[in-house]
Amino acid sequence: MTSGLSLRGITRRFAADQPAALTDVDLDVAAGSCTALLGPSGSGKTTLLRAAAGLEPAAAGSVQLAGRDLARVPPERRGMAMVFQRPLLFPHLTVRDNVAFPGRAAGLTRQHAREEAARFLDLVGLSGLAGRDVRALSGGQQQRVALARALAAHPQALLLDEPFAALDPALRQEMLDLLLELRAVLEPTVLMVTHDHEEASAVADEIAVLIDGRLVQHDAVDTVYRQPAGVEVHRLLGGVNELPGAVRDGMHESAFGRVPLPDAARRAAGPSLLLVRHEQLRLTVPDHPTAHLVATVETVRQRGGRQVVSMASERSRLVAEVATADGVRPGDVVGLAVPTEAVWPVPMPRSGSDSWPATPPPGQRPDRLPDQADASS
Amino acid sequence: MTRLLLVAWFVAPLVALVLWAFADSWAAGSLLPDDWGRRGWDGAAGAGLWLALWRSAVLATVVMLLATPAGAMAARALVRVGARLRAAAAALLLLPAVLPPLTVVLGVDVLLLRLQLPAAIGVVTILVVQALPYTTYVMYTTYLAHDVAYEEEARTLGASPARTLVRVHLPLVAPGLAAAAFLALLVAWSDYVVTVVMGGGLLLTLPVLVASNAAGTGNEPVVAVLSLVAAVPPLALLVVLGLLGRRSRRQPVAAAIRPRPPVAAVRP
Repeated sequence: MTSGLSLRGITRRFAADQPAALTDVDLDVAAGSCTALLGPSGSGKTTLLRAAAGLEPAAAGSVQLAGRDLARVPPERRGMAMVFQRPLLFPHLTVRDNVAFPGRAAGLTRQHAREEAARFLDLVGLSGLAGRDVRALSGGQQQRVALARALAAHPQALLLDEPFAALDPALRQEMLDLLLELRAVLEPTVLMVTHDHEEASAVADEIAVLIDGRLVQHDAVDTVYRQPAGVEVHRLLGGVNELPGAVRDGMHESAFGRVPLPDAARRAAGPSLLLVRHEQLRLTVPDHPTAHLVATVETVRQRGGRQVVSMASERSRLVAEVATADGVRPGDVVGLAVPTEAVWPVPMPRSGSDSWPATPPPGQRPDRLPDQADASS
Repeated sequence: MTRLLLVAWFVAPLVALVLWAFADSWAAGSLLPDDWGRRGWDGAAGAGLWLALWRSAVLATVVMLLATPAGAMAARALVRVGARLRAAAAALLLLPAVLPPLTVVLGVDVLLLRLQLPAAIGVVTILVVQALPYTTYVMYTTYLAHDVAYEEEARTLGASPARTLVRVHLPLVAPGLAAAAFLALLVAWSDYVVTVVMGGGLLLTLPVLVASNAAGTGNEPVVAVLSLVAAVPPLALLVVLGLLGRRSRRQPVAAAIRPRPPVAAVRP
């Protein structure tokens, strides 16, 4: 990890009477890899990024880049370039001179810096706009120029602070594709702040989850999805299903039924919350051999091209997002096939009032099939 | 109609001034001067117009060069301090504009006499203080709208603090700086009270010259010439600043053409 970006014990407190914005955060980003820093707003993501860039001088802890300790190194000598949510293009400079800015700052001649700028503008597909006034560009183009300008600084680490959050979905997808292309060509070390788990999973190799200023989990993208460190992480990743119950003999038992657990979680035991990825559930008939859970449908709603089926028992809810829920109507009793990679048990949160009995009441298995509920997808 | 009246309101005195400046005699009751000529100009030159113009220009420039950066720095500090402190500091900074100039001048005059400082330094000092509320206020509104993130971005792109100041910060606040400098210039350019009292009547700037000539009778053409010369430089500057401002706000027509790369995929 020494050749990448390494943060150690980063702590930042804005005022003595407030809780710390960051508490003892350790984070490593391997050289050439991309880590998405994911967290709800106010979780300290941006502050951590600024601390890495040297823009938060009051932050405690150490920052290392490519094995170099950056204590007391000013931002301009850290070898990091940052792209903010707003493009922040210098309005008094043309597109070309904006991208030539880092070269000029590094001591290149005007002509040399502009040649470099042309190269990076070409890389982001905007070579035709070099002579333009930056205020004449669209939002997406401005952010492309900002990206080109950051890359023109030849940073050892590229810091992105929600760079695409202000763009509309189609444009954002374009920018994500561009970022993937740039990653393939230039292999920069990237630390990207985002609150959007889809964005994080689309670009990054790893996801680091920051909640209330603490690093809660840092794993490969699919590991974070499959084995979230807790309910908050699960929710942050778009997860909606939390089934209270208990683990016994490698199975999780809840009001909806028994679900086999993945190997990595088989040793868990006792009261447990089962986190279930809603998009991996499959609808089936209640007495089908693969039907681990049985539930009564409350609503069926459309979400884009897919359908969202909400189910409930007396004390808990379950949501499945499926390609099609043809014929399933509110009131129907359906079975749910649950792949083991779609579930992960975590200890019950100690909320007290909302506690669930360790042994759930036996689920009421219906005798009769709903008419067309066997439309499993 | 209202606009016409407004224009007349501003232009009418100037017209009279211009007419008087080229009138050798203009009897009361005549619509236009009776005799045209250079009497006013010769008289004004004899009264020391060009030297006074030079003195005024130097004084105004010095005051501008001191009051503008000082106001900018005060404004930047104001924007950064907490809200409670800001109100008190702002009130203190506005004080010179609120107090009658004579009160301040008479007090400071005594002090400067005791310190035995040259009169010119006293005049400049007081005028800088009088210009500060205006420069500070203009720069305060400028910095309220200014985004420090531009400078942070410049730093992460490798620019030193000095380079960031010159290449990013100053160009971004340039319109505000120009407006503040213009106001500081005006304060010094049009000052009479401070120059007379502090300068002991020895520092003959253009306003002082105008006033001393206006005190007499029968030399209307001379007064008109002096006033006209005093009015032209600020007006010319105003026009130049207006043109510069319009140029920097101009947006190229290219905004209408927005080539976009093809949309690669639609988000699921």
